[in-house]
Amino acid sequence: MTPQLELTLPNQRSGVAQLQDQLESFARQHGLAARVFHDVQLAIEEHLTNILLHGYGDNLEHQIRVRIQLDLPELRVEVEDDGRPFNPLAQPEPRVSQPIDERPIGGLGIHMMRKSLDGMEYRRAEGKNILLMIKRL
Amino acid sequence: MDIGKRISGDSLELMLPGRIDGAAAHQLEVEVIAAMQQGYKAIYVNLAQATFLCSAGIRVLLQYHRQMKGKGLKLLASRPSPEVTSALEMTGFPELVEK
Repeated sequence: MTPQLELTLPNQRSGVAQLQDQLESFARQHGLAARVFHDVQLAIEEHLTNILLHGYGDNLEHQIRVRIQLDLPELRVEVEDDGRPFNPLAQPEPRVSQPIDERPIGGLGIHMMRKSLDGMEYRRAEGKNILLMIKRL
Repeated sequence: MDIGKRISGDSLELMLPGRIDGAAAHQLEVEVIAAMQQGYKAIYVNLAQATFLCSAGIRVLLQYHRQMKGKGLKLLASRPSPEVTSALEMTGFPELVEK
């Protein structure tokens, strides 16, 4: 049986923090290497923050569904939200070699996701953004 | 997040433990703004105990590093944990760290 964790959280900071706590328990329970876990946690934080900040044009509560699966040799995390269509994979890369005073401040979150993960897949279906994040263990 | 503080002369050190997520980044910003208003000439953000630094945290460091630098003052991250070092290198900002 593939160990997995499925959670639904509201689009609020407190929901994200709770998810991260549960993720930590899952990682400890299944003996995931700290490095691997850190990278996944970072990617999830960045993606959920983007959803919270940019996903919705209303002040309503929305539900975000997260499913984590330990499918050796990979850890797979799928995040589903009903916000505006947004494909993180289609965003341009920031230029990390520009001098520090000229670097624009935006675009870092997606860059960190790309660097932290071994793969990402995006699709849009039935009014939802579905992002799959893959980390090799 | 409980942010520790250590003052020496006109330098302030802020100690940030644990996960620097979006909420913690906001808390850091509030502390930095207060410190700048209080007239500190150097602000060090000690990240020895930080397990995690997200882009919101990097943005706060970058934004206020620039502002302080513009006034001839200093704001730098200090003693970054390995995870924090890797986050700063990943995004191309090793200059934010005190040497």
